[in-house]
Amino acid sequence: MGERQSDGGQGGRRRVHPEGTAAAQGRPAPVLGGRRAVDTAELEALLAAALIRGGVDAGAEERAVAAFLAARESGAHGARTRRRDDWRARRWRFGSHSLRATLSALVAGLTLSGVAVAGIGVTGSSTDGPAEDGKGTRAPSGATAPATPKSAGPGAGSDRPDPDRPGTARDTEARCRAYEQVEGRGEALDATAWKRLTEAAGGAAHVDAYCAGQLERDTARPGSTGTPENKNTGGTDGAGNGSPGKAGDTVPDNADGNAGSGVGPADGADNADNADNAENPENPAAGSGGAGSGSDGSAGKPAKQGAQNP
Amino acid sequence: MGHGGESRRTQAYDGELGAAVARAQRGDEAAFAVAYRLVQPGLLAYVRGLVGDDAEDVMSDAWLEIARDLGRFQGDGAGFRGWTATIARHRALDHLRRQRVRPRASALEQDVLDLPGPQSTYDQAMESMSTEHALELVGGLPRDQAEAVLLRVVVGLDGPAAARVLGKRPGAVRTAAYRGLKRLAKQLGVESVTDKASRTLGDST
Repeated sequence: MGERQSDGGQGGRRRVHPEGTAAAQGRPAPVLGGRRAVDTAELEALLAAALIRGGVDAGAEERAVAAFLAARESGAHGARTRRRDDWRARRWRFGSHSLRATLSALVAGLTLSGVAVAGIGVTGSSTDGPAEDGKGTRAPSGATAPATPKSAGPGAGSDRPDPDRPGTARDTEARCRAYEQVEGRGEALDATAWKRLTEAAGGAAHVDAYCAGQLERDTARPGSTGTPENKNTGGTDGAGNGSPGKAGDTVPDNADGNAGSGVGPADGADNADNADNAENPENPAAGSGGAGSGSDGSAGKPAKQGAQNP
Repeated sequence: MGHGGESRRTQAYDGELGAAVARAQRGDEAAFAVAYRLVQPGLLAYVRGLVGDDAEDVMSDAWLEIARDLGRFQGDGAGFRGWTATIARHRALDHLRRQRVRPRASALEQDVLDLPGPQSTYDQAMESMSTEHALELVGGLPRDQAEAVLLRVVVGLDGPAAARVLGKRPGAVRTAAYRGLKRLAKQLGVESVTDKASRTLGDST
């Protein structure tokens, strides 16, 4: 009521100088807006003052608080928020929709790009798989690989992606060099790359020998031509797996690589075609067709046929 | 500072109200009482415009529901006013259905129908304005206009919030509020509610 009285008292003056009064009172009127026509604002103020009775009925308030306490005791306040109870996000506003949509798109974009980036890593690691050919490669020099039949698998892999080999070989080489530098520092060796290297080497203890062989091979490589040589190496791997002794012989001389692969054929050939077979030590039969295995690209087909025959 | 009226007052209290509601939601009954005192007068005025003298009873029912569902509510002080206004309105409409009383009629007192006509001066209107008189004026409006005006003026809701309470489009509520206020101004003999008023109303609501 007090508000109403003050309004009434100033009504006349306001009527006469509406603009001045508004300025003097500096009315911010958040809801109404600063530029509201004074008469409308006055009208609203008048209505509000007249309609709203100050104070609340104490009894009614007590009942409301009692209801609140009862609800609190009964655990009703843990109830789930329904849509009509959610007055936070102003969903009914156009702007909010677009904002929400924008945020959604942003989040989705980030997520997908994250997946994409992760995918790059996955792809890289999968191409690293062939890098395990290093195992086979190591076989000749290290002479440990032949001991495990499984080494045939990776060795086989080496034959498969011929074009990739230079890259993966460089990876292995780089890892070996890096390994020399970080060796002895614990954490670095836990990294995925080192694990992979260790796996490729067949154990932490063999890493040195493995790398030695790797680096040796790499330094030897420049002497011969790039790609074919790689194939030969792959071939020899297969050979090495199949018959260690022979592999050992073939390695030093790349020129003989073809021959080696042709001779020690079996695994190399079928390895070239699919890793599954390669991992099966029993598959030598399939390898029979592998005569051409170690040879150049075209030879791959015969090898495959041979592999499929059994 | 009645100027600017309820809207600004409630706006100013929104921060306090929001804090009180948050504490009440954590179980503080004193904070709930604070929120009650902040919100009840405006809601009561609104409901009185809908159901007349039964407003107190209707609001008692509404507060039972508010107290029960407080845990469900999410929002700030302004949101709490909108949320409670929605509950109060539903209770009022239930009451009207039971009573089968038209809201406008209920708000009208027969013996005070002698409204100040357009001839009355604005000053006279101001000075003679009482709660009953104001109720008559608002009660004389079409239902949608009356509600839009009340939600805006006494509950202090902005356009979108009022639209949500009423379940209508903001544009429709804005128009209704504007027409209602214009009509009230006319009844009060305020000839100077001009295009300026209409424009700013349209802008801000």
